[in-house]
Amino acid sequence: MIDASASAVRTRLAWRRTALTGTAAGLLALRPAFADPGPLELLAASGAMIGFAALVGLAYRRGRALRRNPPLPGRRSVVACALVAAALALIGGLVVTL
Amino acid sequence: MCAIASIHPEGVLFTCEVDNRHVIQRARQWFDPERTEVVGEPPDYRYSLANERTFLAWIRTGLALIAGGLACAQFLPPLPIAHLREGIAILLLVLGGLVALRAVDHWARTERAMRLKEDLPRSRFPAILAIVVALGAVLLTITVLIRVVR
Repeated sequence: MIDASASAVRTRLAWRRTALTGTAAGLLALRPAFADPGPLELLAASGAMIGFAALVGLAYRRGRALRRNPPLPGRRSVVACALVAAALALIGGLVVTL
Repeated sequence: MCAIASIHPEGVLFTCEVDNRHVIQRARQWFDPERTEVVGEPPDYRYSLANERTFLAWIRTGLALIAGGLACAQFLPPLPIAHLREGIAILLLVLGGLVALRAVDHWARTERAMRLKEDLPRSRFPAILAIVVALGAVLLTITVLIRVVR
């Protein structure tokens, strides 16, 4: 098997890109807490930051798991990642309807 | 989900070949695809990782929609039509959440199909998403034109 690790590296980088996109979304949800602070704004901001930290943590964890040779397919990280994204959508809804 | 992703290459509807399992079973498959797929055998790990990257690309699409919705609500000036700005923001956020949940479902079904050496699941979702996004763009263009004419 030539170049066996290339797909693991690509997957690791895809996880990092996803975490970076999550950073952008999380920061946008953070803005109202500074512009116009209130309890709901702060709740939304802390939720967004928890989601952001979760995405970065998942990317890190999965990146480490991918070092195994051959790497196992992701399972819980994948589901958790989708749930965090859906939660960010809910937090975004809170921010928009404020 | 039964209606989506059930068109066979020959054009025959196999509505209940893969998709008639219980919701609970499918949710279990999300959390532990390997435990539920006792029938199949694991595919080449590169296929699984490719499936995972496709899933991640969808998640990024969803996150970008969410970020777009947040930016829309916070940085757009009030539009000529009342509450259109908030409506577009909510639509983008709902789309983002849908994309994320659909992504994990599609990932799980693809993983299952690969283990069982079946055809990969097909989906109308990308086309629907494209149409909705295009309609949103048309709507915004019309609003901008209204503002220009006034």
